[in-house]
Amino acid sequence: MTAKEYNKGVRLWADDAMRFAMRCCPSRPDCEDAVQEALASLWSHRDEVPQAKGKSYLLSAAYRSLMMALRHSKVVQMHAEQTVTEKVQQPDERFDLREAIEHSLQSLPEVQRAILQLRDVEGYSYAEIGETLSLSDSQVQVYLFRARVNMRKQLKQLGYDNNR
Amino acid sequence: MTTIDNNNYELWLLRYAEDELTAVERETVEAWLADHPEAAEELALYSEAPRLERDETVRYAAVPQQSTEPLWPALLRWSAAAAVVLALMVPALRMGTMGQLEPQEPLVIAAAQPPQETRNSRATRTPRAIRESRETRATSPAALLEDTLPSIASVDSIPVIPAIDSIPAVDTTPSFVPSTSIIVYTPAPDTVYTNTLIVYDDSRPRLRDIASEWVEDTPVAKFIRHNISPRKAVLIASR
Repeated sequence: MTAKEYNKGVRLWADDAMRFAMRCCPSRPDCEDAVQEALASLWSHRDEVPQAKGKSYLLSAAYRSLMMALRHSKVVQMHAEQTVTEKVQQPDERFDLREAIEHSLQSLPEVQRAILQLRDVEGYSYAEIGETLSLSDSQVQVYLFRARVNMRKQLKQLGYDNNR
Repeated sequence: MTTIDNNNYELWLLRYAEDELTAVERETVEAWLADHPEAAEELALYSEAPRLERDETVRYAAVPQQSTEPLWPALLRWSAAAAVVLALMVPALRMGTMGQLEPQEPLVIAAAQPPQETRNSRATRTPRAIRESRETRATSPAALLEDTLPSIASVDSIPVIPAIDSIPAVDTTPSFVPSTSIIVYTPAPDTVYTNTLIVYDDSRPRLRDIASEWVEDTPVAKFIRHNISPRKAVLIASR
């Protein structure tokens, strides 16, 4: 990937990477840090990453960085007894459907949220998702199935019985 | 695919719902579902689940957005600007003063240069502040990346490395006390060195400075000095 291709890619993919990161983690500063590190990583590996794989590499690097940050914040939380990530909205108020979906997503593990984002928004195949998140095809499919089932259960609990 | 059972039924159901099975396989799944109503309920939940949509409100702020403005107003503006420049240059050419005009530095290159220290700014800063300013620049990811930039700078060759994470000049007084807990994260995520100090907040202290000034002879300080590269230290400190 040349510098020109890199710059073009950054403009095309940075927002998608940010959306992907925000799906995995509600803390915007953490997501911006993750995307920043992913962009720096893509720049330093630009000779090895072809243009066609640039976006996948960026999302993958952002995910790894985010997971490290989340692990880090969990340990810090344990030691310092302070909340690092932003609090998830509580279900004691009336949601519209969009908010209800966001709320139900927050109850899912990060990997399942990541898979949903890559599948529904980015339109990735199981193999591409597996490559991005370092999972096997079967793992991707099982997590995807569980993610949708659990999300639908959450929505039912919030009173959305017939939303399609 | 192997036969359907309680260990792999999720795979079968997903492929059933996504219409990825043959007619024979579909019949197999339907027969199995008749004996497993709880699985049939999961399949119904899967099918009813809404698909996520792209949230256009989420943006990565550090990258300039593509302009959606039509091309012709920009061309018009540039033409007007060119006309003004030409109008100013013609008298200068006539007077033979072109040689006195200073060539202007391209904005892109100028933006990439570090801020110049003026005599006054140096005079009003302590030696320690000046040293820290140099160290901050030397260890910032942006500064390190500059080393890898192409030698000829142009609009297309300068990478878009957004400046969100550039390490700001840190206050000379650390915002923590020696008794604060420190946790050092090493490149191997399983190894966590817990000894004494670190503050994870917006001030983003630099580990190497902390190590040299606050925990001079502890294992943590030695570890940081000998095992973490300046770039890695910056990344750790920036979390």
